[in-house]
Amino acid sequence: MGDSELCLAMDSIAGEFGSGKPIESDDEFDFDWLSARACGYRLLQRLFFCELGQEFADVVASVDASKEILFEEAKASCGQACVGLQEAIAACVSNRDLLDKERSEFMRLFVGPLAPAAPPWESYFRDPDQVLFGEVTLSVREFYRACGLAHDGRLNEEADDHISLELDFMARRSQECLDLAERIKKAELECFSSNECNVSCLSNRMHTLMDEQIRFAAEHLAAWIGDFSELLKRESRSHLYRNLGALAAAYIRCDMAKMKRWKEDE
Amino acid sequence: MNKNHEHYQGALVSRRRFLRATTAAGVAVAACGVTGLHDIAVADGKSTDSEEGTWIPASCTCVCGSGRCVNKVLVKDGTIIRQKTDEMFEDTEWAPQLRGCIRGRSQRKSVLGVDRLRYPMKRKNWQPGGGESSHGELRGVDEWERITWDEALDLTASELNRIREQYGNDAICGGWAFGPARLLGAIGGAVRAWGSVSLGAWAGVLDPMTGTPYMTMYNGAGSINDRLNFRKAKLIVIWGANPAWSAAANAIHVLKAKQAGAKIIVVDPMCSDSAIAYADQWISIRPSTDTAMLLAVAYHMIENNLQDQDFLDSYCVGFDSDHMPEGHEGEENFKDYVLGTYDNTPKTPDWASEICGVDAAVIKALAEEIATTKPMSFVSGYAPARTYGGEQYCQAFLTVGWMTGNVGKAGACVGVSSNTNAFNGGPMLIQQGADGLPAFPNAVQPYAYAVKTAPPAEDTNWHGPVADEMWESVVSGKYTAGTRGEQPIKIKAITHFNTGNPLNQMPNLNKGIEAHRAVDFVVAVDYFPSTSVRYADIILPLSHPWEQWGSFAGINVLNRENFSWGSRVIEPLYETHDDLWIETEVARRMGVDAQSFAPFSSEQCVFNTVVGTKVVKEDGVTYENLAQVTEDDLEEFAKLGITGTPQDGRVPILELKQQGVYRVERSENDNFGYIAYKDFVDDPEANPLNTESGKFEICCPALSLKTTAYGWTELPAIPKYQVPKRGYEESKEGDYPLQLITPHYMRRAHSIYDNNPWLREAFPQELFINADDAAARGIEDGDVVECFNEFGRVLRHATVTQRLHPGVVAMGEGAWARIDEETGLDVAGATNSLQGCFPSGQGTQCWNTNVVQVEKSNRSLDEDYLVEPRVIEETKE
Repeated sequence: MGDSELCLAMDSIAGEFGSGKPIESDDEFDFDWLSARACGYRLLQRLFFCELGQEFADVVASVDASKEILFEEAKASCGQACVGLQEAIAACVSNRDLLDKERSEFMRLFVGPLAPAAPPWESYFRDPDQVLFGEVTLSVREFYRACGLAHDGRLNEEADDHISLELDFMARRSQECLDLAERIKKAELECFSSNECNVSCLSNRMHTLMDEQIRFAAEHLAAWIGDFSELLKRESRSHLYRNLGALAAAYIRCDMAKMKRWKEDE
Repeated sequence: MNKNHEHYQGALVSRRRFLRATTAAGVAVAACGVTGLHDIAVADGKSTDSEEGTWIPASCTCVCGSGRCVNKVLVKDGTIIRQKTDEMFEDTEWAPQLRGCIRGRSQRKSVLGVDRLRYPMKRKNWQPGGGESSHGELRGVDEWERITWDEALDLTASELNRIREQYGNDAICGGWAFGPARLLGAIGGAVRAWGSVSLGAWAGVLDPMTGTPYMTMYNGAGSINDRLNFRKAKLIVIWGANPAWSAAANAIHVLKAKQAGAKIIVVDPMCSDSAIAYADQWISIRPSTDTAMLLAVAYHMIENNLQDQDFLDSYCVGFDSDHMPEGHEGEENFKDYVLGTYDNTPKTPDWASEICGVDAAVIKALAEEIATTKPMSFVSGYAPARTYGGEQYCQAFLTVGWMTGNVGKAGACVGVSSNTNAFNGGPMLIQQGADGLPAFPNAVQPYAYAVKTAPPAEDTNWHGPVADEMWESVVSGKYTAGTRGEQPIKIKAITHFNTGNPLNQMPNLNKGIEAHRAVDFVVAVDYFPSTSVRYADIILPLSHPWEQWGSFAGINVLNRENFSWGSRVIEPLYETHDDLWIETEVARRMGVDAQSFAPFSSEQCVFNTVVGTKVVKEDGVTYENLAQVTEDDLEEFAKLGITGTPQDGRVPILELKQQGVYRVERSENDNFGYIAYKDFVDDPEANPLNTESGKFEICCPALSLKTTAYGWTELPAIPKYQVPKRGYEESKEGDYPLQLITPHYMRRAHSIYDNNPWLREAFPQELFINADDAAARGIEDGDVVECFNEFGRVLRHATVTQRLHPGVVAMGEGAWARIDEETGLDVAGATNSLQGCFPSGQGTQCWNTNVVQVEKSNRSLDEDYLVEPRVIEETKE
């Protein structure tokens, strides 16, 4: 799904929310968590995806990021990094030089042309030979494939284990979970009897997606994000990327704990 | 959970809005190569490869000179799993397997490394237009932006166009004269540095003295016997060669000769890994003093009448006054020079010992041994000729060899052995075809790498500095042009298209950085951020030969017995493109007709090369097509847009492609052996050499004239010891008491692989220093030391050893310089950081003639494998 399609899809979802119908909260779904993580993963994904742009900085600066992305259990360990991150981004809004600096810093840390100071690939941290496009890339690609996903590029245009792609996996799945929860809730509210099959399908799907995320985090993302964050802390010359690394590591840790708890509760 | 509904409602709306905004906000250029994931149909989700994967023949892309060892790569699901080497052929006495060395076997670490160049990049503060806007002073320290291919190609072409129109084509420097340079030719030419480079003075000496065309008989391969013939020698003297590092696959030929009974004597400032493996005796000698030692060997032979006088009288000119070349009677002859007739200095072993540091007794013993042991093979590497005035070494070496009469017979030869022909001389048994691309001669500088086509010194139509002077000339605006003397030059752009890593690999690296900072524009094409790339304005990322259907490095016959065809192993990484594509795109934007520049694809080039390749028949004289092509094959190739005609040949072309290697089978009494100069020795009247006299020229007036005409040094027609600049004599007097040699190192092939993490760990860029010299400076093994002279200063760990002649330090050439801007220190240890501008002879770079000082440093230095690209500790699970 391209950016514009995604955007349209979300417009329609947001429209549902905006309809004014009250949304019940119960033991089944923690909407605080589900909605926050959808935002959180998307924000992280976008910040690791490319250098900071003016438009994106404006978006982040115009909201209270902590409020949007931190679910209850993440507030304690992620709060500081999240505030730091937002401050660093907000500082760029009115200061073109600072924005340029952060853009160059992104190149230095993650792109090149010199060896990236903080290589943003799982392979770099976990491949026994420390090569990209090796066994780790392959296993991530196979994971996506088993989940019915593939990256948008030509083969080898990017390694599947680039942090932005791994975060895209979580962002996509967490948003789908939010949507599903929403639809289940709505179906239950409207007319349970005529939708019983539908609800159980949606519910099964929700479980499948959550399982995928738990496995993906355990087998991949969470297995290296800590080391990556440490490296970023050492190598980064900017508050933005130091905080981004810290936030990503803490956020994924909290979310993983939460996912496991959700699973156990089910 | 019981939370307030209203609160949730508000939060959800806000979060949905945020989610929408973060997803939608504009993306100029995606820094991650792809935007994200998308759903796929389940049917697409299957891996196409078998569980085990597929083995694909891959090229070994380095230029070590070994001649294409077998390299195969296991690919699964488009991903490289691992490599292996030769298991196709049985390892036999006559045909050792073509096993790769650590460099070839670790190639996967390079190709898939985190430091691959991924995208076209632009230096942040560079703007086209020249002058102030180029901010040249920031090259090497500036920040970078990612740009699109179109932006990068447009900027490159428009800036080169501007410079070409404003200043002329001779304001464009095309690095040095490696590679085909079709692009530079097509745009009207460019200045390229020339020189003998790796080959040392040999390239310009072998031809006039022996009549052996240097490059047509690849790199001196015509001057020595083939590998099986070496097994017939009783004695092999190896002067300044270390194939275990510099031509690893060929070192086994010497081992086989040793097993067959040859005694091996190695003369070298370093007890090399080769010497450790096979030498019976190591004669430790000071660098750049070989000529003195050789003269003393000659003296001892003359004094004891040990020389093969019949051979000298019949086959050589210039040894004594009775055998001078026609028209030069009465001029100085070798024997009288050695005896001291002209200068009252007999070149005795005692005289030489003072200079070369070898005991007189050892010199005498060597003289006696080589004069009395037959058959004897007398073999030189390039290194002793990669010296100041290296021509004199080549003259002396050949002369002493000829004095023993060991030429043209089984087990006997006198010549140069290195690179792919190391210990395996003779014509190519497989001759590579041509790719068929049209040539675009360089109108500004028509001369290429090495003296195969170096500028005839007396000609007046050539332009361009020798490698030593290249960077100096950019800064100073002048260079030496042979008999024309100093000429003006004004370089405004430096381009590194298809030309290697010249900033790192040409002499005077620090001056080179100054030169790169002085011009309007620098563009570099590479796989990795090599030194030349670091100081560029625009970087164009190149696909690796493993990612190309075939390429120069993919298909090559360098070893006389082997043909190697590397296939595409994986799809190109990121946004990389091959040379032909990049050059065509630049050429087109500079007004060159793309169709005439690249009339067909890279794939067609490879096909042409293969179908044009010839293999020797059993008679050892005539050749036939290697590849057989049928109509069915052509149908297959047509799918790739390749056209051709059917032809007979030895191996079906698809079988050849699948195997990736073809090897001419050798056996003891086959017709593929080679004894250098045998025809001449058998019948000198019927088969004269292609020299002025038709004989070996100990006195070689043509060599003298040609060399002197280059304008740097005068070379006598007979071998003489002339004190070199930057040699032992200077080390005794000046501020720099140690001699530096810069061997080809196992970590790299020149500068290739310097970024390979395995190799960085296995072979740190160490500074080898003799234990006595270390002790005198309070240096212990592993200490951080600074090695410096007036041209630069490097920081390295010392390796204290007895394997190096006292007074000598050694560092492998090719490490990618890392200049610390504050201190000026090169913390990577590039040897050209210490190399000044000292051109000599016929454009010979004196990389083994240099003086330095070494001091213990109080600075800290990480081990090589811990820096760029660094190795990290394993994840704790």
